[in-house]
Amino acid sequence: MHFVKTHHRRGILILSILIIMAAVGLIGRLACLMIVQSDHYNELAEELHTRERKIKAARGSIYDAKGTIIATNRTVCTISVIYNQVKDKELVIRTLSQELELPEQTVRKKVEKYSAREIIKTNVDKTLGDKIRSYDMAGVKVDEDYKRYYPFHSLASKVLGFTGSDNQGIIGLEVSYESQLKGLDGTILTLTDAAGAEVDSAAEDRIEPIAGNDLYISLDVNIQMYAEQAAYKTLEQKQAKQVSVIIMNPKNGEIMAMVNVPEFDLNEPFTLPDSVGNTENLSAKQKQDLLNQMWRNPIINDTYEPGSTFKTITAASALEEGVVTLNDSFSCPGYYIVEDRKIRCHKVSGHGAETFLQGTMNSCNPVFIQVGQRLGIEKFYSYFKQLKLLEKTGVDLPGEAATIMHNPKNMGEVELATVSFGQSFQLTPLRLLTTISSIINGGTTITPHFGVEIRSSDGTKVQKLSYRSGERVLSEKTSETMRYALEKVVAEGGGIKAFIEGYSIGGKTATSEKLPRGTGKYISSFVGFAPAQDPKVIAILTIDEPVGVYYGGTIAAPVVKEIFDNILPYLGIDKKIENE
Amino acid sequence: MERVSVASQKRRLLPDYSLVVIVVLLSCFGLFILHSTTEYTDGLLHGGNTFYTVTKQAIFTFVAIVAMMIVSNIDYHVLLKYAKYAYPIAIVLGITVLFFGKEVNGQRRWFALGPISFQPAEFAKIVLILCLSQLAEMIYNKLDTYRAVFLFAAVAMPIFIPVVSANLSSGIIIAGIAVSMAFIVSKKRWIFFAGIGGGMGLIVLLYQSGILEKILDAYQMARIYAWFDPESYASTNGFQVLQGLYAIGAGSLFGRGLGGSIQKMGYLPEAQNDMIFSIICEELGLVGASLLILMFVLLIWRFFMIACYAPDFSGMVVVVGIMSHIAIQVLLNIAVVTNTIPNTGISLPFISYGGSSILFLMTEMGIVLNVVRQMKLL
Repeated sequence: MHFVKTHHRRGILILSILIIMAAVGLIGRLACLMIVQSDHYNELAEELHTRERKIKAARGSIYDAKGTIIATNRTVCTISVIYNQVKDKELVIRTLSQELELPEQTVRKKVEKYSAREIIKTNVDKTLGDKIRSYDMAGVKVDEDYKRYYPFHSLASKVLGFTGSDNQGIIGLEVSYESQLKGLDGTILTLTDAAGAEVDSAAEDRIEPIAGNDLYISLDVNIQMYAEQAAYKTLEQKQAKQVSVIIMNPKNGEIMAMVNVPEFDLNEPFTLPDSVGNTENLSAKQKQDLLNQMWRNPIINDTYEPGSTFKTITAASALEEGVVTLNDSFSCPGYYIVEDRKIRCHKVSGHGAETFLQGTMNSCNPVFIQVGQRLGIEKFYSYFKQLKLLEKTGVDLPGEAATIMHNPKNMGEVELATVSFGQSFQLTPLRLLTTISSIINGGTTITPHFGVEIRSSDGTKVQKLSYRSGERVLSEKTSETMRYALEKVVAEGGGIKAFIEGYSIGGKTATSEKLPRGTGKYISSFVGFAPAQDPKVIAILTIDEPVGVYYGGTIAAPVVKEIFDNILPYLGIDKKIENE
Repeated sequence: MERVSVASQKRRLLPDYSLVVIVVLLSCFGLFILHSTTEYTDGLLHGGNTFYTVTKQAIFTFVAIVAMMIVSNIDYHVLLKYAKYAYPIAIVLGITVLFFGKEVNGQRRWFALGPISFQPAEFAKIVLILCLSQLAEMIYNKLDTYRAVFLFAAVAMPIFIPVVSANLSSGIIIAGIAVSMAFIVSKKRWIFFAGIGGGMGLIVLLYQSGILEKILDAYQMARIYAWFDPESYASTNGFQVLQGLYAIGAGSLFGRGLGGSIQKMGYLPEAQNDMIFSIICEELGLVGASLLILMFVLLIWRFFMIACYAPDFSGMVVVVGIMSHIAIQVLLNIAVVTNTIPNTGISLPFISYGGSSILFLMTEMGIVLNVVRQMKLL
């Protein structure tokens, strides 16, 4: 047995001091990490721990002129299971497969899959979601979400448009007013564990979403429905490709209806119509092309040769320029020779001697060729510009097509002649309707539009939408003369089939052969307005490729008559008791 | 030992309470933290049983405390006398584990005996402490010579080599214990300072010249690179350390509060084991972490007192060996967690999860308590 010596104790002391120094050093190191570099590591850690989840902002609703909701959100639920929290697997599987009407096998596979969160079904109706929530099963989550919903399904489908899964507008007004309707998404910052599962006990940071603004439009559901019914009837009767209608207030450009049948169901925008047949063998691109075709709004996206309805513009230009009066006399032998070309009138035997007014009522091509010649290329063209025919209308819908017109430098006598009765160039029906509106509304421009007002979701802020209008492009006098002439067309001329006893209606018919010529494909159309002397409503109807009789005066005019018959009383325009 | 006063007789019967109190406090604190660390992952892995790991550890701790009480009643001189028989066993176990151990993460360090796994390195540490103490006792009169230093090295080497082959960190601890013990008993202290200084210089030199890269395994080199800049190796070798640093940094001054750690939710690998100190930092902050370090310092101070007033020379050497064992492990563990040194797996005594670790630690505490029992008041 030996004793502990002092130098041993000194050794232990040195060792202990070294150890304590090291310990103090480590505390210093800790202080450096936990105080000085704390923010740095905290930031990195936070990034790692939190997950940002979007809270969808409620998209603004769309209301019609009478305040009826035509596009809104429906609350739908997403049912999901969280593996770690499920207690009674069998109960969950049984209940979910029963309630959601899913095969038990499918549900079982998802419930038994080891994952942070497994979605069982999306777009579940809210009542069913509430029912599932009421079972209060551990590990089953029912999350609410918004889905765009269109209560009238196919009504004005190509006008309203729809939204995609990310709640973003894809076509129509949903696109034009995207920024107003969209709102501002909120966020939830939640704490997650390493596997990405949310930690329930942790408090979450929430930034509330801001709901989108509501859009009030001039479209009237009732008028739209009348027009759509009439259009569908015509589509069926004439076995046409499509029938389009625009009904507008010619004084301020508010569009009351815009129909393009066949329409599609806005709640199922990715379902192709039955007429397409079996879509299973189509490639993704083919299918997309078909969808795009279905979504297309031809009345503003496509141009056509207007034909005789364009004679209103020729007449208005000539009257304004003073190169013709209603009483000027012309003669029609059934054709007219321009340079080396013999241009036929639709009445092969000719209209004989007639005044300009009668020529308009007869829609006589030789008369309008001569009137066009009186104007000359340069003047005529300057009127196109003045009447904004070469510009887009500026309608609040996406994809408006531009007018395709001859360059005046390349225009010869033949082109002048054809243009004067509405052939050899193209524009959209809306463009034509807008210019005719200017001609009959007293001579001022308008911008056709749907959007009237934007209101915040709580209704506190209201923003009236304004459009460019009021530019004088024609004298009051010419406008009045045109109204008179066009009333005559309906009362006694080619538009007689649009005549309604007790109403004064103005209008013009058209029948244009589609390109290439000679295939027997036509577009029949009619532009009508009422009351003729103080127009409150103007409509254009086009029938694309009717089978059988294809004269606009015969098939298009009566449809407009039918529509007017329904909507004029609705708009509060009373029948006049005729004195005669 | 002939004339024993009443006071010292009383003293002989009662072990050093402060030591017991510190160790029990540390163990209980360890269980609290272990529960907090493992409750989330246990809940996921063991069907909601958040007490799975901590229950196991509590049983180990209880068994270990019983072992400590038993050992504290065994005269340490007896242990020293029979240590020479354990010496070859430690060597054989150290070698066999290299070939027949259970493979974990590509390394064989463990023997699996049913549900209990046992690390021969833990056994080797205690055997080494006892054998070196016995050696010091035997060559007491020649301790001043250089030969004594070589003898120490000669006894330590056969235990050291298999352990270091299996596990670098345990090897470092064994070397540290041997060096500390030799340092205390030898009068040639400059040798040790020179040796440590020279060794460090050599490592730097080897690293700079690129030779170190050839000596160490690729995984060990990768750890050194990750040590310099963990954020550049965030997804590979720097991952664990960086996750630990996130926890430490997030702790700030007062921490997130007990149970408030986020890094324990699967982010930090080995959170219940080598990295438990970072969870302590995250939950209890700099204040809590410093208090824990102070507890260890207090323990070291108790060891220092006991060693100084040990009943005889061999008792002193044993206490110094155990003191250096615990001190080295605590310091290295915290140094690793704070990225002060390259990452190497060392558990935190009394706190980290591990059955054989706590068992051997408590056995060592039992030996120290027996030394205390035989102490005479001066």
